[in-house]
Amino acid sequence: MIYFAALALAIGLGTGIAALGCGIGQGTAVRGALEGLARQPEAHGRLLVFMILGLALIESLTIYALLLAFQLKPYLPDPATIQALLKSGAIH
Amino acid sequence: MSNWIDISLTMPLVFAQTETAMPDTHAETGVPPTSDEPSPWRFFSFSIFAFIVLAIVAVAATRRMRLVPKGLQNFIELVVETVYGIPEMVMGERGRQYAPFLATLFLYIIVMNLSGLIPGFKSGTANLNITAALAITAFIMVQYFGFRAHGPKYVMHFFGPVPLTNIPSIILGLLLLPLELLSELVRPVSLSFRLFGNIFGEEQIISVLATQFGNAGPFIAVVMLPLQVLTSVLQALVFTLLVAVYIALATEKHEEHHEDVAKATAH
Repeated sequence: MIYFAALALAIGLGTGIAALGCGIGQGTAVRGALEGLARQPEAHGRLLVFMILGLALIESLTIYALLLAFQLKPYLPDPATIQALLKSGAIH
Repeated sequence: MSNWIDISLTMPLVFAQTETAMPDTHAETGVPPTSDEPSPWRFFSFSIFAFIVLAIVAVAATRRMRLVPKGLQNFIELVVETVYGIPEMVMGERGRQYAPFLATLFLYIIVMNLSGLIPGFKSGTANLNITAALAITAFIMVQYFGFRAHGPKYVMHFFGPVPLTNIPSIILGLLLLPLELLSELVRPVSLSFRLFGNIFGEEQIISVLATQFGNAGPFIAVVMLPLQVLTSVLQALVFTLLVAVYIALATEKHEEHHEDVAKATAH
């Protein structure tokens, strides 16, 4: 039972913490881009490209964590098996 | 170093695992499957579909070309000029020679990504093998462009930016060598996983939303479809931009700068 609890916590919290870091990182990146845009509005073309590139690079780290969650998810039982296990009293 | 070798040996297992461990969304999209087991070659067939679409459009747009373009030729010229602007934006004028390769990458990836939105189709890039093939091709081409621009001295790039003239710089270069090699080798890995994770994750989100949330599910999933369009276009652009940056790093010629640093460190 510890196995299922630990696995479910890992899948849920792993992606969540990765998304937290991604939110902070991308917020900082967009703040830098907006400050540059406020100083020099005519540079919006170049700023847009660099901002998109930076955002995609930061987001890719969270995507790696999401992929790990997808890899771990088949090791959790499907709902039918969970119902059977709960009925038989093996887990609670 | 041995961990690095172990990782490279387990990569084929990662590739094999994505077909069995990851749940297949073919049955979840509501399209009735024609057989019990989805064929592992279906992603390859969608990549062939993208190739055929691009070939047909290319042939149709270049037949009886006019000096003042109209219709399909006009649209394709707009697309080509926009995509050829990517290496020029990254490297300036010398980027024009790499534009055909980068434009091929961009158009191939964006057609494969967007074909996942057609009912009954899946994105070719929703499989790690397809994206890894693209990333390995880009990696080989970056090395080829580096050797073509610099000759055999291209390998000196892996010793870092400082030229190896005296003993301290040689020690620094040898210390930087594993770092540079590792960062060079992890680039195709990150390229392939970024593209695969974005496209596969997007279609997983939409299929889970459409099936697991009862009657309101499909309506929420429809709201996510514009996000899938945005992700498809963006990831193609990011892949192409990153490969353009890697080519720029591999082929940059700053012999003048090297001479200054050499003079500064020799005296």
